[in-house]
Amino acid sequence: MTRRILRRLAVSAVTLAGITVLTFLLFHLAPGDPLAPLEGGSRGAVSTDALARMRAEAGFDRPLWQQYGLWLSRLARGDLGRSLVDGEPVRGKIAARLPATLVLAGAATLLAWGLALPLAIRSALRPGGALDRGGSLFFYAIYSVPVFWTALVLQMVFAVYLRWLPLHGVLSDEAAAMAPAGRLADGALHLVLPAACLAYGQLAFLMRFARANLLEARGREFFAAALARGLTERQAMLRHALPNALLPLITIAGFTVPALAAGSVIVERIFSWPGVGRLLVDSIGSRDRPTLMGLTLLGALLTQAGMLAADILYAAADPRLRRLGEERP
Amino acid sequence: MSRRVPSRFFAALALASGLAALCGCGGSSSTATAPGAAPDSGGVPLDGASAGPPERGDCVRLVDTADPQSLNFIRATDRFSSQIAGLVTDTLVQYDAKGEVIGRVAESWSVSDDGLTWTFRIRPGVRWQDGAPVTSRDAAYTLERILDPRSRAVSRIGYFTGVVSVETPDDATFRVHYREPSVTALASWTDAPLIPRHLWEKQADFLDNPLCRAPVGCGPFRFVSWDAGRQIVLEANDGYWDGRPALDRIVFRIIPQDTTRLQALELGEVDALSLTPDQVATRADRPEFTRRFRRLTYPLPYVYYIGWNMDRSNPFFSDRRVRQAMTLALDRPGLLRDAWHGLGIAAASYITRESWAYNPALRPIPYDPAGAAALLDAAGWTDSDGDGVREKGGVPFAFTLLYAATGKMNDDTAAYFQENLRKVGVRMDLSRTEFRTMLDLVGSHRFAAFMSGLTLDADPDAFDMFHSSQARDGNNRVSYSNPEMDRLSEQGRREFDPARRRAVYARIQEILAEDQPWTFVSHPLMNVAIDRRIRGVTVSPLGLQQFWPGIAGWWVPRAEQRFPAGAAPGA
Amino acid sequence: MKDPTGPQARGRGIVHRLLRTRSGRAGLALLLPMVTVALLSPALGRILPREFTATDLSLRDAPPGAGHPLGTDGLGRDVLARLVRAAGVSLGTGFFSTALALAVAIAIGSLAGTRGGWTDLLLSRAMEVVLSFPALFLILVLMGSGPPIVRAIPPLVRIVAVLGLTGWTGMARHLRAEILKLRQAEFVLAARVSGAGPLRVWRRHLLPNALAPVIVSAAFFAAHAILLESSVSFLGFGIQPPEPSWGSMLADAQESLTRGWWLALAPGLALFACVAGCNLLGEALRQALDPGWSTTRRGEPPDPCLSPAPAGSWDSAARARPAGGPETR
Repeated sequence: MTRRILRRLAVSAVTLAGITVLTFLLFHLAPGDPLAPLEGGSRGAVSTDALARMRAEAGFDRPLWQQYGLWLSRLARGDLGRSLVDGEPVRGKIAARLPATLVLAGAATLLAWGLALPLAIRSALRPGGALDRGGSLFFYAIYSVPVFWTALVLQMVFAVYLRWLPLHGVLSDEAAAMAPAGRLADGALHLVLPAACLAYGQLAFLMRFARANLLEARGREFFAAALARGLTERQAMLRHALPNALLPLITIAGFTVPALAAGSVIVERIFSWPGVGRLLVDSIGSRDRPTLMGLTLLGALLTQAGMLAADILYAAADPRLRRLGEERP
Repeated sequence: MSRRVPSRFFAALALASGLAALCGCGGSSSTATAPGAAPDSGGVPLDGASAGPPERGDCVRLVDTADPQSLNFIRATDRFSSQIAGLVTDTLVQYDAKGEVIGRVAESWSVSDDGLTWTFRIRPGVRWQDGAPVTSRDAAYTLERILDPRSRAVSRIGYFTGVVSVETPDDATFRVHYREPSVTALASWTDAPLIPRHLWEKQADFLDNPLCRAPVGCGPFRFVSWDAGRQIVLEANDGYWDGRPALDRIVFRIIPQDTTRLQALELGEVDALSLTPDQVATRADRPEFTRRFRRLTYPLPYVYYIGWNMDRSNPFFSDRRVRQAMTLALDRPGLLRDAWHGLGIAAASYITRESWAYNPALRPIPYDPAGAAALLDAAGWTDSDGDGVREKGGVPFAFTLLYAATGKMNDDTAAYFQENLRKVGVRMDLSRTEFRTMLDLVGSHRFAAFMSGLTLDADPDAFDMFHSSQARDGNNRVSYSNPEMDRLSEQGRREFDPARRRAVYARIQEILAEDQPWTFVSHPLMNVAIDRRIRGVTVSPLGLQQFWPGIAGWWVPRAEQRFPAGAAPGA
Repeated sequence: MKDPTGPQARGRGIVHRLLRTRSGRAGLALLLPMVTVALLSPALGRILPREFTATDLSLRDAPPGAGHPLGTDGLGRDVLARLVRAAGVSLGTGFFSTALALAVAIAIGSLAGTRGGWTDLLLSRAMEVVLSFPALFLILVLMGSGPPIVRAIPPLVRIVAVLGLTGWTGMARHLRAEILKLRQAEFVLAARVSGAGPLRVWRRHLLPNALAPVIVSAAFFAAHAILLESSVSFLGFGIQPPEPSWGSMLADAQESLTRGWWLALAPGLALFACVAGCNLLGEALRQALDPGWSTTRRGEPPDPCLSPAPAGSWDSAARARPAGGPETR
């Protein structure tokens, strides 16, 4: 078991190396001048000497593989370079925004899983029933609507017309004056719309996937056996079908990071959420290559981490795997 | 000297708070009003004499689209940072509401007879917000940092490259020596935000230190906090030498999405917002809106234009007749009237009506597609094969217009112009790119035509943009070359006599009208909605800010304050 | 494992089975009209009374009425004409990017699956590396701030290329897993024994049978690609004016949600129809291609969400990623 995990980690390490190479290449494809954003403006802005000095200092004039090595060694020390926009360390910029995105993503994931499982169980208990049919149709429908659209509509309905929920942002102005409990509630209210928008795609898919697995488990012998032993359908579902159905779900969990990363770009913009999604779009506009590289790397690393965690969980959860030989390289 | 930074016009218009950071023109005390807009005075507070003395208190919430680049005022080049700089720190001199230069940190100044040396006297009693006194050495340090290439002060360094040396014989005397006498030397100091030497000297890295995120200045407001992505909070500086401003706090909210910004205004989360023409047409005339918000319409020293590349990389625009035809073919009046809802003034040249240099004898070129067609025919471009596109010598008249993705209005304008040209047999393809990409491409002359906007300086200096020497590496992006223009723009820089100078620029405008290196589309009108409770709002030729007092003069009557002392947001 | 009936017979059977399922009928009903419009869009553009670029400032924002069945937009352009044009653009993007992704997936997945050993090792790692990057991040970066060589490519082609080159990994993994399974099948071994070369074996036996589940993935990917393009265009990085796309039409319509409902309804419905249609078709394909398809279990066909993992592989990346996953939207 440990050997398997170690092997898996080793594989991950190789993938990580590949990720750094691809990230580097992606942003160094052109002989273009990364200091270009610094120019523009009144003539004589930055002297050619000063620019040449800056270029040499950053190592832009060296061969590509050397630049990679330089970047990698700085990376190993945790140095992601400096933003071309304001000269601040990229690591700091990302670190300032990351918690907001993590909170949002976490809330969305909890929402998605928290609703998907009970709904799936309900549906699996009464397949073909009103809830099942209606629910399926509904989730299928919303799964096909783009996030930006849902976000705009929800914002208009709930924040502008009904005024039930806040329009945007993380906290209200008055939050500072509230008691901690009040502030928490205020933050939670602000989290509802953005998290819902981020969650519904996952929710729709998870619900259908879990339902399918539960139905399949329901048709197996152990389920019938449990019923024969006197358990109600519901108990059998929860105690026997659910654990079996969860296993494939763990696989899916590993892939939520890319989906969340993408969704956050749009949701953060519409709801003025101060996270990394917005930093990405801003950095693209200002051609801030170091920040873009840092963000891309972060996204890839988090995805890898998610997949790794899912695999380890899977291995731990399924004892059979420890005995099975591997067919994969 | 002039600032020649092509700005994202519609980014400024549609995105920011209603406070345009502009350098304006000096001299004129009247502002043109848009047809149908409420007349708003120049230099006179809008509420007139009935408002009474300012009352203390309340917090005003403004808005912007994204975080400022940095709060290192020397380094930052974006408008948001300039806005904050104007509030948190002071300059030696500043424009007043009439567009004239008045002393702020400098209580007086003088220039030597040869015009090469300016001497400023620092006002006593001005202090940094940490208590230390402001001295001439702070001014010297500020200049030093601006000129240092490592500071990357790209938007300011151009103003001061003529400085040879400075002297600070004592705390109150700041002397600057220039290489040659310059008409604009004094005005350039309105854009040099002072930074405290005693704090900055201690920092190891000018570009990355705590002061870049928490600035200390000597202005009417002190910096409180910067919540990345969320808001920036400023509060009144009790020790300000010119008296504590009336407002307790100013909060800048950061809202990237256009629809959310307008909704925030309507929900009362924001007190002032600049509106796009579309928003004005749809929301702003409703009674609920006008009940709560006052709409200000005022002109900007800004010109929206299309530049035609004359460097012979394309076969079209080296011919003057073609350029004139282009202008005639573009329905600028219709665009302004319909698409922009009248929120723009037809432009005859880059100089606005508010400027002393404006040539009143000049009229904007009309919309005349028949005239355009005639000119194109005369220039040899005819549609011989009947495919709807003119050609000459086998080459079809087809080119690409480059412009920046700064908003829907830009897209709409480009699309409309495309249609206009199609009707006269010219095919214009559109290439919309990111703003910086466009700057890149334009800077390296890789374009046929580009559409952009330009924030204009106090000074109508034309050298940068139209002198032939600036064609390759300078700001004469369209490679325009006219010997008379060269001569006149050089003369304009050196001419100290106002009447003669005026004549020079009048002739320059005439030449531009004849040659059409640029098609001048419009001078846009800013449209800002402000909560009615706010008083003391002054509109100057420079807009709502970047002059004294600007926002520092805003106040709210106690009875209408939303945030009485102690309950102000943004803690 | 038996060799199912030859490809031709299967082809006929699939369409038949598609039409028998509810999802298949619904999917085709939604998609066929859209696809027809998209294919005919250039011709339709000539027939329709107005061109999609023709502006008319006197008729701005006119509601549906005479001469403009779907109303006009902010510049007086006919919404119907733009919708038709956008159909070609959006669906074309979806189709060609899917085709590209499929082509790359077949190439790489087959190589990895058939060769095994180091080739498989390297290619699998490469797949995992690309898989780790959140697609939307990559797309935004390449569309918004790529090097000059990339930016020289017209946006339409660029977005197809970027979508295709970032989306092939899922299908490649799927194909590889299927091929690994099939390699042990009797009919394949039989073919090898009888002297057929590896290419022939691949072309006649492995690929046709392995392709089926991948086609299902392709359908889901198409839906996903159309959604992605609309999101990217919404953010302003995708299809550039004056070419309309449903995403950019929706972006334009944001401000007018209350007063110009027709501006948002038409592209919104069209987008929804296509995406839902592709998803439904994918579901139906999965049902139709599943050899174990039957109606035995309590009158309920086995839910197509299930997709079996190849035995023994516990690495989530190696496991067939369930099609129609919670991908970036």
